[in-house]
Amino acid sequence: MTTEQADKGQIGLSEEVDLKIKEIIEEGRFDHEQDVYRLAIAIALAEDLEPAPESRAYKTKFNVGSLDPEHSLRTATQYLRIDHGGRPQAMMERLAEAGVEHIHSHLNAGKPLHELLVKYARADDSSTEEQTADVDEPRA
Amino acid sequence: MIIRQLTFSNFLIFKGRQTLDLDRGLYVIHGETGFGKTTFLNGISWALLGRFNDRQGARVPDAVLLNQHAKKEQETEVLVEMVVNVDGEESLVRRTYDASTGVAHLYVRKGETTLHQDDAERFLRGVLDREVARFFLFDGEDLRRYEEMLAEGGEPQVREAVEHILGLPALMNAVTDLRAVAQDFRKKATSATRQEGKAEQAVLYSEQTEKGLDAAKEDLAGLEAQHVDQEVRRDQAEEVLGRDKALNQVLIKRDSMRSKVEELEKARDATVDRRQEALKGTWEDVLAGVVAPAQVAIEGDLQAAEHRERDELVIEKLNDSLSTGTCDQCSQPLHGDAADHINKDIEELRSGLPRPSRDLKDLRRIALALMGVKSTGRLNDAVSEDKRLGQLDRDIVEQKQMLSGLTVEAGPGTESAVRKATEQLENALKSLGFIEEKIKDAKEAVATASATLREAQLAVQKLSTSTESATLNARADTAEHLADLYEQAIGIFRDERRDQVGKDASEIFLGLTTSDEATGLRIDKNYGLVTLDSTGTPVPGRSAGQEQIVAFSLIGALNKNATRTAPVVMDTPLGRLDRGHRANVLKYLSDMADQVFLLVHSAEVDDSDLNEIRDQIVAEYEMRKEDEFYTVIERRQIG
Repeated sequence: MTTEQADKGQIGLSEEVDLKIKEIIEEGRFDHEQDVYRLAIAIALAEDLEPAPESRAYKTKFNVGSLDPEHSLRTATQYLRIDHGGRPQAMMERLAEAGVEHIHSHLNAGKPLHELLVKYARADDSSTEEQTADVDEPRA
Repeated sequence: MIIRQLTFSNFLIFKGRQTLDLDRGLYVIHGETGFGKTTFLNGISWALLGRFNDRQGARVPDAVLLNQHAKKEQETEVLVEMVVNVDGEESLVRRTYDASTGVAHLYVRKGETTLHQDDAERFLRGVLDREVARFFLFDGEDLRRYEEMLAEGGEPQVREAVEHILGLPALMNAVTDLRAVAQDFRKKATSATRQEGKAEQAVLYSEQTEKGLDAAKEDLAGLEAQHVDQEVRRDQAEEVLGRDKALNQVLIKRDSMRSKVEELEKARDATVDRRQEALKGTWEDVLAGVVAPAQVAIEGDLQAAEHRERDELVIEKLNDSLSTGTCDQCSQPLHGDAADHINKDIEELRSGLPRPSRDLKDLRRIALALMGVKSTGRLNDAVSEDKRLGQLDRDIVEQKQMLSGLTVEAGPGTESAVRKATEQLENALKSLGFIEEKIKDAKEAVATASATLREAQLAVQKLSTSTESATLNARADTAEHLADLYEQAIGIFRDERRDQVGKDASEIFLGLTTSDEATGLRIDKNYGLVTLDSTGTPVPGRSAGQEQIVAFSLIGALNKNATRTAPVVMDTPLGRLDRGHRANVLKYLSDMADQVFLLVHSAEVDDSDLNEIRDQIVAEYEMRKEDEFYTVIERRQIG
């Protein structure tokens, strides 16, 4: 008989990626690590990034309640990543890990931040429609 | 003084060593604008006076004198050398400036004797004093200015300079010396009376007064020494500020660029803050973008689930009708083939039932949660702020590079040196004003003490009975009487010289002017000159050309009456004159001084003008411009 593992209430990053988020902060673009962390999850979902392995040693950084008080990230993860295995918050952590690496790698290549962000801009261009067409079904 | 040989070496536009052999008489040097006429004049000024000013009156620093080509070729020495004949004796005057060390040096060999630096400067001051030089070495633009300076109530130093040319200060020294001799006799007489043992109180008072006078004189001498010190400090500061004038411009530019960089950095900081603020909510916009299609899908699922729920309810009711055999709508028993129809409807409904991904409850929960994910618009803000920041960073780098270039150009320590020199100049000027006031008071104190002493000495003289004392007092009286006589004579001499200058100026003027109405000039006590009409009435107002003619007349008269003459070097002096006046001035030039250099450009004087005075011209030179930084002075072949 298997017992279901409880979801995480505290999430964070691996030691290695924690250094990367610190580097991003030091460069002065973001005010707090939380701002990067939330963006990393959102980008990981948007880019359909492969979540980092669950087996990594994650160092606790945030309480999910404080990080996502409206449950927006949790709900989006739960809906968009049906492979969360009943543990959407653990999935958020794995997505954050992948997302921070993605952001760090972009900035580390000397590319400006706005180049990374501009494709998510929705205001009055057609990018929103293109994205809608791309993502019409929940991802497995 | 006559210049027998003149050599420029790497002095500004005169690249390399260029020598002119000269003699008495009139020399005409031709050069177009920018070819080096003013440089020629300035070179002579620099050699004789150790300095020269630009047209704005600012001293030109030695540091800028080295020819640009010479500088590129790693040469460092600037030189102007002259062989001069002063009162029949030949001397070599060589002034140099080494750009690598920043040291200027004057070498003077008077006859066979090499003079020490201080003696050399003193020798040159005797030949041509700085204040006097303005009447010998001048720019055409200066001509009118001289006349203005010499107008009624004009600058006292100009009047002093004129009197210097006329030899009055040397005569005044004799008066001072005679009064000192008289004072010495009086002291000795007082001392003799003391030895007689008479008039002790009066002698004591006289000796105390003498001490008071000595102290007052000492104070005055101390103040005059302080005045000299402050003048030196003022000159040093002016030298630094003059040298750094060009660098000052760089500093101003640098400061303005520094402010620009500061402004850009402030703008950058503000943009960083705005970007950080925008980035706080960026994730919501990204998430909203991701969730938007999901929201659409969930909405569809939700509608399907609600549709299914409604249809399932209908099916349930139809099944109830079949099982009870009663119509669920009208509660009547089912007849005929009604049951078959109901079964068919159930079948149709079942086959058309939507199949949502989740159950209605689950979908409603997800829809409600996803509704909370809304776009904030801050992603767009973050994008534009990041772009703006990128541009600002590029601008800052560019400005900083330019700033760094300007900082290198300004050189290390320039700013502090300029600030220090400015402070020194302000302090020196303040001190000079203060000391001058004190000198005025000290002079009054000396005069009062002298008068008091004279009274005390007279009292002693009355009480003394010795022959020695009487003899000494008699000698003192004689010396004082002589001094008074001398002073009166100087006054008369000054008036005579001034009248003579006036007469000569008037005579020269009549030879130069083309006006039929003017009958001459009248000189005033400040050596100002007014034009007189046929009735001998002063004519108010003069044109610029007339002012120049009057200035020429004064300069000519001063040269005629000077105790020591010097060459006249005139740069572009004929520009404001009409043809008639120009012809008259040209004819007069060879009489103006023993040696005259006329520096002219082609629009000012042409060959037809010069043909009229060709026999008076010793030689003509041509300034030929090789390039921007190189002019050659060549002798022009005539005829």
